Amino acid sequence: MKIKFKILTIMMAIVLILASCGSNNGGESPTPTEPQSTGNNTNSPVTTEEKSKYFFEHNGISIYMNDKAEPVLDALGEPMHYFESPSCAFQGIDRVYTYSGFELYTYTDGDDDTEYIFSVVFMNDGVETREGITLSNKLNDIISKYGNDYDQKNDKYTYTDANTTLAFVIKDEEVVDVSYNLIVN
Amino acid sequence: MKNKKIISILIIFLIIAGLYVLLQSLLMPKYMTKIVEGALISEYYHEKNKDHDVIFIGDCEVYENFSPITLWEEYGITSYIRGSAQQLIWHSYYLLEDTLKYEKPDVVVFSVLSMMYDEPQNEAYNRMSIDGMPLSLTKLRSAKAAMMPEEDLITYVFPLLRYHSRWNELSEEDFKYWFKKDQIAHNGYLMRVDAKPVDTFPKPRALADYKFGDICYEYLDKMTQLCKDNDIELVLLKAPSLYPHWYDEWDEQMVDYAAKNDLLYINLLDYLDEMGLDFNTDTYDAGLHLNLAGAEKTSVFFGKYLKDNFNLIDKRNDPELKALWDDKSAYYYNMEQEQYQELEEYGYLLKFNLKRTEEK
Repeated sequence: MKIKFKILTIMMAIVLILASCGSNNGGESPTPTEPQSTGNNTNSPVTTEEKSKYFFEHNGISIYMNDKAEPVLDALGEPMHYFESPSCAFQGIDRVYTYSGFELYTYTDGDDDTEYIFSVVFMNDGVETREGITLSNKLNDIISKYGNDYDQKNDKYTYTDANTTLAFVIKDEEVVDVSYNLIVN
Repeated sequence: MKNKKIISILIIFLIIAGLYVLLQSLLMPKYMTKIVEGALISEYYHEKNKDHDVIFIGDCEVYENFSPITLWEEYGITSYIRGSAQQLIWHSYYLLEDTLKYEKPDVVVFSVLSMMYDEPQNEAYNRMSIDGMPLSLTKLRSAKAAMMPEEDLITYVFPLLRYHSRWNELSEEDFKYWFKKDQIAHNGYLMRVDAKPVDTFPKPRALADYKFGDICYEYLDKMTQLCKDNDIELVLLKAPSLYPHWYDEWDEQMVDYAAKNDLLYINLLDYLDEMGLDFNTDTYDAGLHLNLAGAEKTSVFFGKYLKDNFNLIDKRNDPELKALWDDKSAYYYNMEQEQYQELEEYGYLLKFNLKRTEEK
């Protein structure tokens, strides 16, 4: 009887060891509860408290990436358009608020309804970066304001600081896309 | 005496293996509510008759937008959708390779939206596309191709090594579906009858580079070759989802690829009027995915396209198949009725909104 009990205990121990010695990847199970867009943002945001020197300013409102969206949205007022993009499988929702000249993208994390800012995209030259760059500027204008410390991938020039990238896409020598983006994994 | 010892060791080994399997099946996500998409891949392997004319491969643009029941009822085409959420092209390739171990369809339809992703995106999506496959070299190759840097291949062989930390997240669902799961799809089609009309979309962004990644073309080449080797017609498909934006530059690349490889490519966004899609009533999430009404319209159109281009025999007179598909249809219409009842009673679908269900 004692032997049988010993064997059973050993077996249970082996099973538990097998179960617990495996890779943990940070202790979070991969059950999908995080936001995943079917649109352009495709990775999980990294949360960091450090403020970036790259942030968008509109009518005196400072818009930092990964800040809570609610106070910013309240200050900006009623958007011209609103769009939400639920993901294929997750419960998080990406929302896009369209204001005059730019779009503000937010995300929610899993079942938490709190929205955070993950991108600002220029729609026309009615808005500009705090350093004065807007659509239809030239690469030289960008370099004169931000310097040469950029990463270039094809036609995209990206400046990075803390949790934010400021990216410019250039076609036919003109800026056609300006965006502030939360850095993702 | 020696034999007795060997038998004892064998019994101990079997008991350990049994306990391991039990524990693993308890701790793995069941995907029976809220994130039901995670159950799609494994459902195929429980299918009694794995002999289909058409296999769809791809992401939500296939499993939400096409109804195999409609293809059967309208044209006598047997089909199955091997779809999963955010299925990337390497997932698709290996799922196709795995499917061909069980059957040789006449036509494979591949959803090309995933060409826009040229690198792994997220472990949770990998899990939903890979965990449901039976253990095989194909599964391991798929995992190897899809893994994020922080993932370990061994966890796809022994998922318990990854899911053991779920012990404190276990819910009623985990125990309820420990040994047997519900069927959530209809030959891979995930039904939703609710409607949310299209309003507006964000402006399509200018991209730095419109060319699909080399790795995507590499897998598309492999898929093309796999189909050719098995005498299967490959069709490249862009489903009629309005968002994410499908750029003209992407469309041109698919047109060119199809022409060079003697394949058919159809962009259903070019046939919205012919299909009779009304994005006020035929989508459940404002244009990203179609609801049941939309999926049925799309399937009527696409079924004719398949009939016109390939020699697919109408099998509705086959008594065995008829009986099989009659059962499938009954389940389909029953679920449709249940969903309409839920909509009437709660204003939303319970299965797809656990949070609301919990609040209720």
